[in-house]
Amino acid sequence: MRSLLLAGGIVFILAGPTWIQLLGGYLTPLARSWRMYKLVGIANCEVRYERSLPDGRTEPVDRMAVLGAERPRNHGMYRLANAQTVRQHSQALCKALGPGADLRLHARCPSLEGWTVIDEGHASVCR
Amino acid sequence: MIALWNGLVDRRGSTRAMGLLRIGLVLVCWSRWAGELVLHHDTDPLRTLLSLAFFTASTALLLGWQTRVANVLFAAVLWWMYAWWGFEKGVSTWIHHHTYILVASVTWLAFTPSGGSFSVDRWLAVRRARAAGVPAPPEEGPLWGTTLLAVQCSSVYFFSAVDKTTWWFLSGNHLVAVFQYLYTGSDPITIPGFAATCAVLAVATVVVEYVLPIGLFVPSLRRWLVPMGLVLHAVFYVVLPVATFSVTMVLLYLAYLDPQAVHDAVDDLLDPPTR
Repeated sequence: MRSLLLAGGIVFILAGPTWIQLLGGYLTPLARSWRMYKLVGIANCEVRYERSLPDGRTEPVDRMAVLGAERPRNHGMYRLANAQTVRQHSQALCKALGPGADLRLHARCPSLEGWTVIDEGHASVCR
Repeated sequence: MIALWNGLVDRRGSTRAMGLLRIGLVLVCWSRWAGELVLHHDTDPLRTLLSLAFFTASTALLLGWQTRVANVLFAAVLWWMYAWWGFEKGVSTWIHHHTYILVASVTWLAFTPSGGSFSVDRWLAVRRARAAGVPAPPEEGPLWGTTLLAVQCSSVYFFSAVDKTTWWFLSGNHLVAVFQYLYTGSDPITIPGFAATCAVLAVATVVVEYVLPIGLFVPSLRRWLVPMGLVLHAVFYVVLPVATFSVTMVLLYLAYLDPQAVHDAVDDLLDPPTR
């Protein structure tokens, strides 16, 4: 009896993650995978802004300061989830900087396959 | 191989390690769920029934009163929460990894004699023996169930490592994304060498997670691997929002340890040998 319970328990423990992670199964109340943090950080693009000065030099732009915003974590602008929100954020910065601003964006968004480059700052995002 | 299996099935020993695990798991369960299950939180009759069942069963298990029954009931309550409330009723925070590992651990604990030590059951047994004028029963019992707890812990490490064995993770890029998400939002972390450090940490984490599931079963490696695992979980606990996951995994290390060594260590703590 003990032998059966022990063997059954071990099979139960190993079967769930094997089925889900190695055989393409899915999460159920009785089948559990151990994919911790797999999606954490995925919905958060990395952005860096620079402004071109009249003398040709560039200076970093503090995006939140330009928008007069604090950096609390629950602020909608703190984490930009995808390319679309990055573009919307860029347009808000352009508006705040005023007409003629030359704002360069360096942005990439993560996915399970790797980074997707959104912009490498070759041209101003303010048109 | 058959001898090894029979050794696991017939294993007996001190119940103190499982007694400590029992107390620790209940306290972690309270830490995770008590706030959500206090009666005023939700006055729906079914939710009230759940709260009463949760606190009644867990209190009996903590105290070690009718321990086996309390353990089975508490495991049933946790499965009710996980499978029905979590999956069917949509309480998504109850189906996270750190909650499932608690559900599973309490379930496997029911196959151990965790009430044999540090419990009301033990206290009553000692009292009965004294009244009868016979020696107190030894603090020992069948320990085959501890293997289930250890395999559960090893399974978490192994399949977590399998999941991380991708270029995205091993290159350190996933850790960069995680740390930025948690600490700076969409602003890049500009610490010099940060990306390279993340790559080193990523590889080290995966290596450790592949070594621990097997190595923790090997007594000669345990003296190095247990501290390594504790450091790994301490770092996770301080740096990432892992909730009760780290402390649950650390508690499960009790299932790998030599039960007699734990027994002797408690003896030494309570009655240190004189020099």
